[in-house]
Amino acid sequence: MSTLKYFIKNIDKITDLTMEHIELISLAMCFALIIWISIGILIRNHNKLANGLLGVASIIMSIPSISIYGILVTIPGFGLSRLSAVFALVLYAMLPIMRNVYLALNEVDESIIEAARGMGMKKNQILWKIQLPLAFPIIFAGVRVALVMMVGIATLAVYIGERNLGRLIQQGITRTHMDMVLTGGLLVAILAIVVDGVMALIQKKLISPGLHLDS
Amino acid sequence: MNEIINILLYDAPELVLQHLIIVTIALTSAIFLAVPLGVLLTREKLKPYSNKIIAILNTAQGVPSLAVIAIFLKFLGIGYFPSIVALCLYGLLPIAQNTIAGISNIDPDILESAKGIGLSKNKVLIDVELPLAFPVIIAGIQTSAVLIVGTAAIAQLIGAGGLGKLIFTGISQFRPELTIIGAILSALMAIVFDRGLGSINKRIEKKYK
Amino acid sequence: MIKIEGVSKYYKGMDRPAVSKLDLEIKEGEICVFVGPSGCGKTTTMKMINRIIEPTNGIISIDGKNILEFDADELRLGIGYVIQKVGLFPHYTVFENIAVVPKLKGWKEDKVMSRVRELLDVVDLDPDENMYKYPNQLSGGQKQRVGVARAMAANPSVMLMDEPFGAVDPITRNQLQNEFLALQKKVKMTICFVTHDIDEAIKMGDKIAIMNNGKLVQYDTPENILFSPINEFVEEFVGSDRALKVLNLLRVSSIMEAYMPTIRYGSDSSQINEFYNNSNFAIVLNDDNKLQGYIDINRIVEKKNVEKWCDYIRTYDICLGIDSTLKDAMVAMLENDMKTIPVLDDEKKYIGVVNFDMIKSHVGREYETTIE
Repeated sequence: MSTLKYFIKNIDKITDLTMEHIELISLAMCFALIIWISIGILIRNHNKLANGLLGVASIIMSIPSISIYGILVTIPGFGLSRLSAVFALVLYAMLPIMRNVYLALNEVDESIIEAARGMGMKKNQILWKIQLPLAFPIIFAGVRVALVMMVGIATLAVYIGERNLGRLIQQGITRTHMDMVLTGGLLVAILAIVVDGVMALIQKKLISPGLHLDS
Repeated sequence: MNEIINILLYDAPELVLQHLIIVTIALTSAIFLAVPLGVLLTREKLKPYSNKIIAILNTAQGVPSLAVIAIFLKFLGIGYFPSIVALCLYGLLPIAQNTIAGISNIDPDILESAKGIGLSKNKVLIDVELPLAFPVIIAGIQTSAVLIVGTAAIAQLIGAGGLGKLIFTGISQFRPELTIIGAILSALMAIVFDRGLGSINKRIEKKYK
Repeated sequence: MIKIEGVSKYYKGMDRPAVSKLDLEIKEGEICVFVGPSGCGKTTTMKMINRIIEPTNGIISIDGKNILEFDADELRLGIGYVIQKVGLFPHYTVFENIAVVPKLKGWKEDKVMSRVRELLDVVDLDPDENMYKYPNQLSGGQKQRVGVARAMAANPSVMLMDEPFGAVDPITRNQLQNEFLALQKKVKMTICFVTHDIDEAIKMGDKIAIMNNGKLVQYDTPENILFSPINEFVEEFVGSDRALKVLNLLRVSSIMEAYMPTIRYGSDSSQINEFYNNSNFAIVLNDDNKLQGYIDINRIVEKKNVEKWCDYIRTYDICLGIDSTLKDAMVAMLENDMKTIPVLDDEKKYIGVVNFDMIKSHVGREYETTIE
């Protein structure tokens, strides 16, 4: 009850923090999409390079996000700025997005590619008209995972000066204001679930009916 | 340089041990809770709902670790024990998910023939379902272990101790070397858990081949 | 015309070439079937024609032009390509799948549309019903039909087919084979057809190229392959049941006869009495020569009801197309317990009948003359 009271009393501030939260992950996702999809496409036929990059990506995944922030802020040029926060989020999106692009492009049925080649489609045409559309569901799933993950990791960016829902948790803990912490926790959880749900809806709308109808 | 060696020699061992203990307790309890839960959710009575249950678990998995810690803070309070409970709960989902997936993906023909030769339901579970689902369950435990190692660092916020202490001290005092050492040790621990558990799977694969 | 001269293909780490010094010519408008055990080089040979695989040495030319002179993609735009797994694009509708090559060639929208409709008609799929379906809504046979339509979309003069009917059930396969042969009779493409099934080779091929271990063993007409195998390998590959295989080679068009009397539906009964002395049965036709059925003349005369002979017409449960093989005819006879089956031309008009004795004597004659 007291949590609800806290929420209502501070609704303006909370709305503000939520918007900041969304803004940060949107910004990071734009960069992540451009960077990791391009790289995923570039490395699609270079297995050794791809395995190397995927190794790097999974090491990044195993580093606690809070310490990536901690390291980034000490690098000149990054510091306690939004750049550090965005950069860290982009790094964490590497594995889910790049890996899914690479795997999905390579998983397209060989006979389909052969048919396309046999019909005289150029490499670029095969990539854009056949491989990418067929890989799209898997790529989208990767983006969805990355986005939901970003909601959580962005929370920790409050320790390097970002203002977002994580602030409620951070300040709540230092002030031992439990209603504030709970409000923050619940809102972050809800935001993650909503983002996931919205992505699921978009997924249904965007994917070619030829790819998800039961045969 | 000296400072780094000092940290590694005097502070790190204790914190690594603390971290390891927190993770091990949380992971073990997560396994003992999640596997039976997963098995339960695949039993005949609940089977019609298993798709929905998996969907719910999938969504729940998206809830960020800090949010989980924050939500339980109000009810459990601050300290060592609450951190372990929060970590354990956070680690439950991947294991439960994979237990369900592993068991429901078993070829129905195999189960039918197991029933056909007269195995009781419990026998089928212990001798057929669990062994066949084992690699998938281990994969879930791997995911869970990596998550718990990483989240344990954040659990320092509610007084867990461990490598998180090193990382947060580094951030608040602007001593990147502390953060980096904490991060590397924590990443190493995650990798060791992942590889160690993965090697169990590889050994089993060899046995079957 | 496709000419293959001294073509070899070597792969690294293999002790013998996948294809070795192949010389062969496929004439304009002919179906050449490459057949042989797996690993004999038949598929490799075919894929070298559209440069999916590049030959190590030798020259392949189409209509006198070396294929290396073309840009590989340009070359392929002019060659139809059908593979066993079909390779339909799952995210494209049937229409979009067939329209790929015409669109790549820059055809106008309405021309593409009318071509797709035309092709769907050609492969016996209702355009309105199927055009906007996705491949996963089609049966295996339908997918294969769309695959053939897609390959023919831009009127290629050359078509490559890699086990095109291998993935469908035997009944559908037989049907697709017959339809394709009827189609080929009209469009006369130069076709390179790969299969491992000698029966299919005999049925489909104007010429058969039997390959083994990367080498061409015999290149000849189906008749000669059947009756004058060049060596033991061919003899074994063809199998010991040659007489049965001949059934697959011969078409009803070559043996059917119009020996049975015909009578127009509704015509004067005086004809019936005329027939009475010569024949037991008569075929009943419409004015436009469409088949109505047959009558048992004896029975009609016995019943003394000659005036109303039209009431005694019985219909045929099954008819044969002019391109049906003798095997189809035999199967139809056995399955329907009939001794005589009418044959219809492409417009479904009656042209004659086949019966069991005709098949028997014809196969016997064929066997003797070719052996001599």
